[in-house]
Amino acid sequence: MRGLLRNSVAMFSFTVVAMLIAAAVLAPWIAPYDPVAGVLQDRLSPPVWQAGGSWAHVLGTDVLGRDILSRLLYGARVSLAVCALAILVAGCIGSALGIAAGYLGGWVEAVIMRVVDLAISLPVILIALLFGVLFGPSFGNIVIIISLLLWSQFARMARGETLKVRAQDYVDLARAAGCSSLSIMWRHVLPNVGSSLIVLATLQVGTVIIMEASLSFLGVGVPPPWPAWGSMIAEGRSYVVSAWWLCIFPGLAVLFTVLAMNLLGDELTDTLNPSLRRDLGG
Amino acid sequence: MNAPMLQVRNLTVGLKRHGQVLRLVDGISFDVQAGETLGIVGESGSGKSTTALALMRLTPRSTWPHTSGQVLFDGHDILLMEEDRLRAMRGRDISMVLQDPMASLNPVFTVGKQIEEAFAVHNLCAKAERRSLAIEALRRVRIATPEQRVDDYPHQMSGGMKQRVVGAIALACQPRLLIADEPTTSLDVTIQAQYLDLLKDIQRESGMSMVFITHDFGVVARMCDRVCVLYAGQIVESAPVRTIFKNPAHWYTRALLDSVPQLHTKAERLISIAGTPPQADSRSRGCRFASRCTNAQARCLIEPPPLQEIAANHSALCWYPRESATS
Repeated sequence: MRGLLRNSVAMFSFTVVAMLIAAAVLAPWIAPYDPVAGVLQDRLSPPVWQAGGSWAHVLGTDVLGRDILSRLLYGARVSLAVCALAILVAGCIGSALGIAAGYLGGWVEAVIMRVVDLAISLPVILIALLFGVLFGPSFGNIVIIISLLLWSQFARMARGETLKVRAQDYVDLARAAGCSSLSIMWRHVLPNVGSSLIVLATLQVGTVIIMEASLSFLGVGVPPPWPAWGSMIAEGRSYVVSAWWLCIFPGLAVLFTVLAMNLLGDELTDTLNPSLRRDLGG
Repeated sequence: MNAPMLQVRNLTVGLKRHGQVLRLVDGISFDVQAGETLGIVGESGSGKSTTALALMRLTPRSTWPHTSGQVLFDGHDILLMEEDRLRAMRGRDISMVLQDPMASLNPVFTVGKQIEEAFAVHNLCAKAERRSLAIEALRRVRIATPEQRVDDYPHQMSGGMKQRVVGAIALACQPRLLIADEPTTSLDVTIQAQYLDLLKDIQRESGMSMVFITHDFGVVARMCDRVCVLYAGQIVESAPVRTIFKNPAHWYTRALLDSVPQLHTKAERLISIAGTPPQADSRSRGCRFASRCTNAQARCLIEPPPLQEIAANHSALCWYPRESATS
């Protein structure tokens, strides 16, 4: 952790991510209004610093008079929950398959990697739309859709890294010591490919948030009236000239989250490499 | 004499490439007695490391269909053994040390954890005892202050120390046979000598056998009781270590010994053997060394040479072995 906080880029990304998590967790307590209940008299009120704005709604209100700030805070919950779950599911499945493919080789590898090729060649939005239409928009479905589209990335990365690790003598020696394939994959391969996978996971956070926003924008994401950043942008689209704040604030939220997560991922790349860890002493 | 601990009979390891089976190891046979050290000497590409892996059936899966012969450990054939039984033997009865200590240790675990794994795999002791046993194992390979070193990561150690840790892992379960594949090649000379002495001392205490694979005759002289000289996948000569140095029967062995730089003879250039060993896919029908041999006759190029008994325990794969008088 100390290594992470050493420079300002890391500091920035870490702060943004921490604030985001805090916002998501604390939303029910810090949001000034109910995110789904609107007051029609207050609708399309601009943010506080613009003519006609008031402190009652700091970031303004939407078409139905719902408070934008409250919706953003609750939206962070949705985005982060989708992110965490989808990446966890996709990461576990993809890594397990990728490591198995890389370590075992042979027909196991051939089958898994052909499926990965297939998964990567699928048109993302089309499949997501199809799935959304077939099974209806819901929180669970959006996690499943995104996991389905994401696992192949983890599988590819895990396989490539596993091939590198498998060529190392310590894997041969582990076999010479009597370890089974399963325990070698678990005890020797996974810890060595783990840091790359964690970095990939943080880099995927941005992708998932954009994916979730795109799906919500297209109407197959989290069902209304629950706020998601993507659907907020979608709803504000037709008012973008007269009421810019409807789209800009959720857009900025997506932008900063993705940026911070990507920067954090880059920092982790350096920090997780054990031979670069200085604070362990020697 | 008791039956040998390890008997290798006609071991062949092949690899299919472009529709052709290449024999990396081609019908080798040798014995290792309990407590004995056997050296396997050869140039790079002669099949030394493949032999080492085959002794524990660690050769890549792609070679399995083209592997034949027998590797008998206590009379049981390792090449035919069920996976579970073989796994129980690996690390417990037979252990291995490889050339590169940097690559032999897992960078993400402390050395202590890696030694403990050896105990864990074979369920040799209670979980709570493992750490103290790991410290004991480090002390055995003469690591100073093992209580502190046990929590070090591999990158915090020097090359020589790492190789000793690799040794500690291999010897953790007190195996009866240690296969050492060029364990000192990447160490500098003084550390090399220390490491070899360490292995010898441990062997003296525990009575284990060793198969020592090397290209270095200095190491052979220091460590081995008997030597097999490997050339292009075949054992061309096998003899007790003194005989190999004093009275080699095969011309290849002689040439190898001549190419070892000597202190007392001043040479302008180092002596080398002309030519290169034949590739596994382009070996002649006759003697594989014939094209480089200074004494090759017409027959050597056409007919495969016989294995000739020169003396007790001394044989050479040659039509016209060197006369012993020349020594």
